Amino acid sequence: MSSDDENSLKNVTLEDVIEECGSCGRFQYINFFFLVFFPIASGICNFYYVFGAATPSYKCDIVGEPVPGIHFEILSTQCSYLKKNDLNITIGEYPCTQWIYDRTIFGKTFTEEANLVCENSFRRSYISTMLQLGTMLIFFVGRITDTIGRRRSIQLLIGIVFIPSIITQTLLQFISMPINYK
Amino acid sequence: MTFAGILALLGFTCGEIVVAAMAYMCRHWLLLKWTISLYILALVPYLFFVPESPHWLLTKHRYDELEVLLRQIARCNRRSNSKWFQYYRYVVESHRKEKDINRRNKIKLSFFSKICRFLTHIPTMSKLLISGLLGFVTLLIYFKVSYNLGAMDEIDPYLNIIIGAIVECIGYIIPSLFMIRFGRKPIFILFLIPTVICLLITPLVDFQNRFIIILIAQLGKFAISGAVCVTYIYVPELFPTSIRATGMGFFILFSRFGSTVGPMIDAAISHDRSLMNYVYYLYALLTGFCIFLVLLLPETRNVPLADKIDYNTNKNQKQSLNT
Repeated sequence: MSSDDENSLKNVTLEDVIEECGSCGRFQYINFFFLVFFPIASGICNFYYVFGAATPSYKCDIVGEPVPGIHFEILSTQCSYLKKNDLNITIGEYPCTQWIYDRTIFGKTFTEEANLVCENSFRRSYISTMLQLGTMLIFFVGRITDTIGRRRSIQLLIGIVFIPSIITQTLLQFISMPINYK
Repeated sequence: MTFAGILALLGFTCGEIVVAAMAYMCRHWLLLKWTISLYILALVPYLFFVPESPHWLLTKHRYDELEVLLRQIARCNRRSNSKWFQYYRYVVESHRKEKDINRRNKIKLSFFSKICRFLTHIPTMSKLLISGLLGFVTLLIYFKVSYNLGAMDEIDPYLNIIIGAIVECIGYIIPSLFMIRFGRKPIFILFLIPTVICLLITPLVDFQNRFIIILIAQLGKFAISGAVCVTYIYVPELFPTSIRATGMGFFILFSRFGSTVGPMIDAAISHDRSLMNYVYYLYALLTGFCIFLVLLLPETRNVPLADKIDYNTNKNQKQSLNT
């Protein structure tokens, strides 16, 4: 190359090379279009908790045959009920073990499935905790992308998201198991 | 300040709307899960076509793959091969030379003393800790407000979440536009103040008109979305390039601590009204503390992007302006 060409090439960087290849052309538009679906998936997964683990309104469900001389009174918290005799004297207070849920807004939620109400309401947050713990791994993802490249990282991460959830969902759907395992 | 960054945030809000629509159609938690899996399955074919990042290929000295990728870009964008190939050859050669020079010029310090030097560098450590705390509080409040939109009594959760997503969208666009002119810190404080106000008012309007409750909640969501957007742009600019990834990782880690703790506290005290009010006031106090902390950090608008941590003032720095 002549010295003139060398001088004009002094400050050329990779950006300039890409500029010459077309920094904002069809290639970029196509890939932008598809890549935007990944943040959408992230938004979907983050907000699943709002609908899947929502708490609908519930009422305590007292089972058992009616015994003459005894009537029940449910407390306003819907978590326990009082057993009273005809003279309105309280015999005992028992915690609720079954509830009837209002399905009009959310349909059947996981809260209903696992009875995550009253004493168990704290456990409902475990679902959200699991999700956020997963997102904490972003800390390491930066390092991983530097080592194995962006393309392999995306493939690896989508695989990690997809395959365990398919496995758990298949198990939940087709095998009936007691609620505690769920 | 990239277009791609904003697109990612807007995609996130789209995801909220999509999941609300999906949940509206399948009123069952497991069916919703299957629907989401179907969506991800639809994305899998694209995984085979994801291109590699050219900058990364260059830093890893994978010149052959880089050339193939550049050819692909040029062919797709219908540009001729002649001009860029000349530039490309020059870039590769100068990169190869730079690699050898860098290898000879590295300062030899043991790993342990490097860590010591890093941990005792007060400006960097204070930036790390403050940004961590900012992330913790902002994401804590963000998820509290967002999840709350779907859990209000008597108010349709689907509509509320969709409106929340639209409001969040606006909350991401507006600070991005104004940060260029007015700087990061003022805009951040400008969005934190309505957050504090909304957090303080929310317990008081509990028994009011439905529209007032929705209005205050959506205003809170708007404010905290703007604050989150500012942090995602401000925090990377605080750190020099060599530790930017570490700084960002640290910041996101603490943010997700906050987003974990939020729903936990919520689920534990959801039945006790007075305790909930106290928690709102606590969050408002934390946000006020954040406003104070942000004043301690440097402004990064129109400040050159540092390349390395400046342990002594005589080091040279490469300069590139950020707008």
